[in-house]
Amino acid sequence: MADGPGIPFFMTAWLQGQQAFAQFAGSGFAPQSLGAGTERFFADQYRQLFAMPGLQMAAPPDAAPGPSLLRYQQAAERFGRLLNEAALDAARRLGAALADDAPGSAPVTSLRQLHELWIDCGEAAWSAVAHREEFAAAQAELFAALVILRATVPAP
Amino acid sequence: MRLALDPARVAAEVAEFSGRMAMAAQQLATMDVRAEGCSARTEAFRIDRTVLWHYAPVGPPAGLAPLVICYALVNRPYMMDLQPDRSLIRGLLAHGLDVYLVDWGYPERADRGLTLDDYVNRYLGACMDHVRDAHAIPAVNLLGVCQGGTMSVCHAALFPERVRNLVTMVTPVDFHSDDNLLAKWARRLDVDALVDALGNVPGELLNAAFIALMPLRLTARKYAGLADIAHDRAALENFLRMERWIHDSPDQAGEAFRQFIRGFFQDNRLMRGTLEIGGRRVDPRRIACAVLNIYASQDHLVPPSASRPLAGLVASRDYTPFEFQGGHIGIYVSRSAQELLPRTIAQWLASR
Repeated sequence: MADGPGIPFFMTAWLQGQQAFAQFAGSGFAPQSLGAGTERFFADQYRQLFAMPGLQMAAPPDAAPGPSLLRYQQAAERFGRLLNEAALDAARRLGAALADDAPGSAPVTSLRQLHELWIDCGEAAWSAVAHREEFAAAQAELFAALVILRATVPAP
Repeated sequence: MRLALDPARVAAEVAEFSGRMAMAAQQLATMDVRAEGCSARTEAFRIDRTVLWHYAPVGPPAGLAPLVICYALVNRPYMMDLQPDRSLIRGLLAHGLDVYLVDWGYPERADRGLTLDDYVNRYLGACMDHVRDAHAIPAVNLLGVCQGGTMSVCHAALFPERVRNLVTMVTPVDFHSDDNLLAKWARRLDVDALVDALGNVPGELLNAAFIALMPLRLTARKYAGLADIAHDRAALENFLRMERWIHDSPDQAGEAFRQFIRGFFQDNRLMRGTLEIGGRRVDPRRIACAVLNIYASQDHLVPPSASRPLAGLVASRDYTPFEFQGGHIGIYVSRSAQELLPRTIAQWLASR
């Protein structure tokens, strides 16, 4: 990795996440507004895990032979279902946490606190899904399908 | 935990946060942080891309056998010497230890055929031999870190006569413990497809997998913290140096990667006693020297459950476990580690 001045490349993903959070935070701040928007917001974050650096293809995947493209599409669809499941669970956890009116529970009074809660809920949901054998299998199949797809895509 | 956000306060918070992040980004964009280690050292020996560094002493010698640090193939070893106030190596030198560091370099396409035999026996062996010859002693102290610890255990099992004392840090030996998420994922990996197609495995691919273990904490939470240090240039430099290390991931020599994934992650052969490297069986029961096993209580990459079983693998009657209260990165760079770990290692070695 080259040393030198410049905006760190790794902040791109984070900035995208902050945009998503800003959209969420701007949606009214009320627990009842937690719904499809929140799920989409978590899903957008998890979906970055589809990006597998180092496996970029020389041409669009559509140029690949049918079988390898079909295998990749099926693997991506299976993996995507699990990411959506995690996103739904994360949104549910966040909604439940914000609806908790138990005596003694401190209210969320700042966006930063909300951000922290969002991360905790997102990580808890992620961990629950990521530890499942089904997830490991889907992720491995996506890897394999992508590698094979990449190998079969003709150079431009 | 009800929401009690006041729109005016939120607007002010957003404005302040945005200002701080802009300031942090502006400073990061102009910083030229070098990350390659900070302590004085000389190249003692080189074989192919592997370099053995020898560090200059900074204090009176403790009179102990030299210590060879074997780092992982993943990431770069300057994490051991990141900056003056975050350096395990500097701490060890301050305790009078004579420190060497094995640096595997950056594998290139021509290295795709390198195997674990090359790394564990040939390269590490040549480094160990160089230090033994240079000091005219039969055995030296060996400190293995993370994957480098696993490789050190293998080396000590294959060549027990070369290792005077063995120290392992955040070292996995049992790759099938329940809470090891990385191992769960790797167990399913079609490593043949990956290596056959790519040759060497891109470091950035591994890095993405490491971040995926805790995808929000390791991105959103970490980067939001920049707002807290936007006015602190030194803290921003520390942050950037750390980020550069995290993303400075060498590609992995294909065959060695294939062997490591299959032999350790998938088949758990070290634990099962069925591991072979270079055609020789790796029997950890041949390790009879003293062993200090350091692991981190909150390690998400190498959970304690992956490290602790070393106790039952080796034949040593002098085995010392040491649990560091922190995580996989904190054990190198946290404030508490800077004083605690060098002292623990130096005192443990001195008493043997």
